[in-house]
Amino acid sequence: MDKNYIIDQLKKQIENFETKTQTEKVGTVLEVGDGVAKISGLTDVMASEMLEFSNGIYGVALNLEEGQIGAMILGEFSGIKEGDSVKSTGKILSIPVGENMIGRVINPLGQAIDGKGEIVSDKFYPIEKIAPGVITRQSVNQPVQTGIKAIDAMIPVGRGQRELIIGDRQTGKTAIAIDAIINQKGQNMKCIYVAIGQKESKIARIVAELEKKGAMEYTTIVLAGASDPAAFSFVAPYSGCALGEYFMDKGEDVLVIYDDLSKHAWSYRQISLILKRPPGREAYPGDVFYLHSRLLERSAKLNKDFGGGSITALPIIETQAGDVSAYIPTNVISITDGQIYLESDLFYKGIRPALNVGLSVSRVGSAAQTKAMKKVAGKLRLDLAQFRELEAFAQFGSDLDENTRRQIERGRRTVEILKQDQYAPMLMENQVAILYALTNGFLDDVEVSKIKAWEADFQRYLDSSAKEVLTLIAQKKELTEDVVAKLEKAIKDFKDIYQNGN
Amino acid sequence: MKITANQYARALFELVDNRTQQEIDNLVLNMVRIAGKNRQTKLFPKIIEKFNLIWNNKYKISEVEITSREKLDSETENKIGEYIKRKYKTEKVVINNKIDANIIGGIIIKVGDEVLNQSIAEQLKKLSRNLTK
Repeated sequence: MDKNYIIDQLKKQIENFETKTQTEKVGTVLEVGDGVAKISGLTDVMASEMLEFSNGIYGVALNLEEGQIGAMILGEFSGIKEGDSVKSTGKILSIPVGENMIGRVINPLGQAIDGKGEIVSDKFYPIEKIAPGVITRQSVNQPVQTGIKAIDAMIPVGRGQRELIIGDRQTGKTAIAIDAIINQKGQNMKCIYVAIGQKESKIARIVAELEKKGAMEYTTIVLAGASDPAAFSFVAPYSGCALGEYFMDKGEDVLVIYDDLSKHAWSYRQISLILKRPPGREAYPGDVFYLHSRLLERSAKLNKDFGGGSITALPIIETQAGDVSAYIPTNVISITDGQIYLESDLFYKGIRPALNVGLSVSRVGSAAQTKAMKKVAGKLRLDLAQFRELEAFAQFGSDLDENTRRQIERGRRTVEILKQDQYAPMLMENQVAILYALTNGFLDDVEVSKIKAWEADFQRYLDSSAKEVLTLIAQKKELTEDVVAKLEKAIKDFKDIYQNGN
Repeated sequence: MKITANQYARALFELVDNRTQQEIDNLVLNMVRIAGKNRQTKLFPKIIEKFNLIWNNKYKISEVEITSREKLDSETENKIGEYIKRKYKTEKVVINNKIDANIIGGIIIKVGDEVLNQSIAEQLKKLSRNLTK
């Protein structure tokens, strides 16, 4: 290609270039600081309309007052001076959406930040949208398999549900969410992980892990880092949700994880206080409840007439020293359809995931649970409840009557089976098999300390030698008599081999 | 309750409208006294701004700020004035011609917070954005 050709092309481009001139509404920056600008002029600006500063950075009009507006700045605000002009765009803040977002790391404005090139998309979704109404909805009827035995069995999550993951720092909240994403492989689910005010190193680690497991093929990560302005953290969950809505409108199932909403509330508190909105309880502004309720209400299961798509939300809340009665945790608990409660005490005891089964609930998920799982889970919950009641007596050891002793032993094995390593999600059929073995007493003669090894060998045996039982469970999703018979035979066969082999 | 700049301006306008010169002098003096008594003298710039707005609105005057590279000749100014009168349905146009070499060429017409940017600088900016896209 020669030089003249390029120059000719350029000339042609410039010749064909036409500018349309139209009157624009323009305001001037009165003051700017801490990511928020006060702007005069700009009559007729809409609430949460996108504004464009003279250096190309965008802002969002939040406070509309007499004579001036307060706007948050989406980006680097050090280049904005007093007296700069601000144009209104006439658009509500929107982000580009599309299939090519999948597998990428984007910022809350939909721009790629993973260095894999720009994302071009012609479709835009507004980040704030009113949630689907009653007539468009349907109750949950399909499970989300998280791949974690304790959750899938006792706190089932359905597609379209909002299940809160709550716990102190370092209790494995993110681990559960990431495991859930990894387990969605082949489950026909798009995943969106929204990181709000997270350390970029943590996100880099998560992305690497997801890539290793092949989970980035259906996952998008929306990242508002800890060093990004508060406005980014504030916008991030709404952007993630908007992207999810795009897939939901196409009839697909989406899993969105908001990690975490406490930081989201903090960033909104910061913006509100700088905008001089009056502080309320814990210095949060008056509308923090609406902040989260309007976000989580957008998770829905649409009925067939509206495409049948769904958004399942797994919001995460970090509590301070186990205090669930603080403002934000109580708010989000009341909005969501149940919570997964993680405890640091359990975590340090080595029970991981550190799930507190007594305090964790799922208010709607059981409707979506597979029949096979429901059958084993009922007994499991009973075993655990009885065990907790009797646990205090466990130290008396030999003085107990036979029945109590048996229940305590069963409980110990149950706790052991529910332990699960990170990044090791398990398929539904495997879960059913091991839980069936557990609740029907096939593990009672295995020593507690050897349970983990026994389970690992059992799963390996099922995957290699008893594959047909697993496929049968996976297909029927029900424990009919013939399935039970085959499963019991497989368990007995394995026990014979295992005990003789040792 | 504190009186806002807007309220001062409205009160002033209603008082001074259709009065003689002497009456106005007295009224304005009175108003300054009241503002002083309320310790609101720092509101004056705002009051003047608002008063201007109310006055222009009532008498259908548009104030136009035209930025150009060189001073506009009276014919062009008249043409623009006619255009503004038609566009904003006003009867009188006050033109304030600003000279700015940075716009390279063309004009920028500003009425209130509405801007019609027809400068070469702006078009070059749009072109560069279009080419780099």
